Amino acid sequence: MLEAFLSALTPFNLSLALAGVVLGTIIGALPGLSATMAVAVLVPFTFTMDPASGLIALGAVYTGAIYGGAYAAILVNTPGTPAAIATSLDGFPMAKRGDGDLAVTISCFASAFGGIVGALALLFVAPPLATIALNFGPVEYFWLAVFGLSLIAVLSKGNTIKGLIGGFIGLFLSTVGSAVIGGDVRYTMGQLSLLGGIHIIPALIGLYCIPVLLGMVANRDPHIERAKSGNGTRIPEALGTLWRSKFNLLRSSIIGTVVGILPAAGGAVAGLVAYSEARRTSPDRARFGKGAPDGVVASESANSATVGGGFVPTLVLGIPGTPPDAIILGALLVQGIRVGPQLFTTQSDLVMTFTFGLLIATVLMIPTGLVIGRTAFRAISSIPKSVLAPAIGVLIMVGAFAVEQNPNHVVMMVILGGLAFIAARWGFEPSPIVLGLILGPIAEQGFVQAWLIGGASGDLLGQYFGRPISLGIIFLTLLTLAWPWFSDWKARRRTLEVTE
Amino acid sequence: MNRTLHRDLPPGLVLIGLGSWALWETLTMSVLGAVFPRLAGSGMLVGGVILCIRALWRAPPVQPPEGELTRPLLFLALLLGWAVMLPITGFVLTSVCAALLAMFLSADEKFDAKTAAIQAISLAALVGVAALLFGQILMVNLP
Repeated sequence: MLEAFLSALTPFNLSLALAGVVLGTIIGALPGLSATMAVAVLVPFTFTMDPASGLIALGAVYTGAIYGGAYAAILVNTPGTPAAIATSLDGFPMAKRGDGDLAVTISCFASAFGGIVGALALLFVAPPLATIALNFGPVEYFWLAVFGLSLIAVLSKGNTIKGLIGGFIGLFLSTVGSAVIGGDVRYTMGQLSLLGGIHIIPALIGLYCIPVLLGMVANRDPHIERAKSGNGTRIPEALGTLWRSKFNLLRSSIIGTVVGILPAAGGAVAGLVAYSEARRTSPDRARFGKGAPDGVVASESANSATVGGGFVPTLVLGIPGTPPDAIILGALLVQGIRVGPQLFTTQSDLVMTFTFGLLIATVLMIPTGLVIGRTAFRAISSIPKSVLAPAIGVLIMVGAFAVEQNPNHVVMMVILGGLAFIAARWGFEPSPIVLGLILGPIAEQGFVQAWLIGGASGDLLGQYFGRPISLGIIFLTLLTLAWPWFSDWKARRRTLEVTE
Repeated sequence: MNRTLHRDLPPGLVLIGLGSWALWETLTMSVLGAVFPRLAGSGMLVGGVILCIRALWRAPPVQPPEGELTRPLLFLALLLGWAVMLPITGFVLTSVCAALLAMFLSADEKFDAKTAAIQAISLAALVGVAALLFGQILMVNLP
């Protein structure tokens, strides 16, 4: 183990980790450029390196890109990557009130902690954790998506009807195009461009960023408040917040690791589930959605933990946990490395060196993230609106186009953005719509597959309600839905007892 | 009072129309392919009806967002034109022109010629950097 640690610490590997984290952070911060793209761009450069160095470079880029998504989420209310959706819920309100620097620093430390937990899971408990992933069938994915959708009720407290309607609109948007199973062509109105459905990244940019952009033009106030005090990082305050939120931090990192292990679930689901749990268990739930640092802690630690978690099924089973893992898996195969349980015995040096490289990259993310975050915050809070609005316009145009090099995506982004702006004036928030859009296909695929399996085995009810993991997720969903009412009822009873 | 009273009526009516259309379209879909569209359509329809009833019966506690409407709508039209023209006139030309228009549209106060020139050059440079980063380094085939 020591030998592997030392080989991860060679100047070449350290430089690769540092360069990878910087590159990944910058790419992840640009709306439209995902971690997948960041990793894909770097893959050809790794073919000439030895496998461990190549893996370290790819892992570092991936780590940086997942973290980089937080900048745009906090400072412009546009999740740079889908993994940062939950970060924007509290990160942007923090930036609006002048705590953007604190939010960026909290996200940096929380991401590093989550990344370390994910990497340690890969190092010590990868094989047994991978077997958990194998027990997840279609019906578990269906219930997991339903669990994610239950967050709508949590997020939209105070305007639950509109939140639920937003969820249905998102679900409707997710059904546009060819059906995931069966191939039904739905709601395309004869437009070939809609056959592939509504791509999540342009939709995400449109729904989140364009209303902010239009709001920026509509108001004469500054886009975000400048820092109230400090040197632009507020490290002691951020560390104090993280210490007070230590259980949330640990729980969210574990959630992120476990969700990362599940193929196709990804950082967005991890961030949302961790956010929901943080909100449910917080004594100060009312602050969530209005700039609660705990929300940023939960989302960022969970989405960064998915990096290490995602490598568990990739390396142990050859099943990529996330799209960037699929690209890294391809790069490994090109290098002639056979993944599988035997990798941990026959080439344990490689796995160890890579895992230590991932850990080092995660630690390097702290100084890198603080420097880039401070610069980004200062720039965005001081640039005049007449430059900031067009600059964001350029980035979202090129970002939406770059996803699949499709100009229709750019038009779709603007249309959805315009609709989101009008919907906001009618009191509808974008988050429930985005949740429906992201989780709809996962829920539908799981539901239809489970229906077919249940029908074939003659036990439809047992398929949906007879599996232990499913029952566990159903219980958590009911708990999430009922908890706010239960705790309100408890608080009312306590108040009554005190007054009597 | 009346403005608040009827604010939920337009979205309610839109949702009833959208939900009805979504349900109507499911008639031509397969049984399993129609499950989620029916769920979404029914949700929008029921939600629209609830909003309409609520709007007619009691005032919903929704405050209109602050700020003017003309400039954002003009900006939205600019973004739409930008998106439509992108494949026709190319990324660099369209983006430079659109960014300059957006600069004037989003300015809160009048600026002098020198400030305008500095900001215009900065935006043109940003478009150039974006074209270089995406087109040359990230190998995106920009129009």
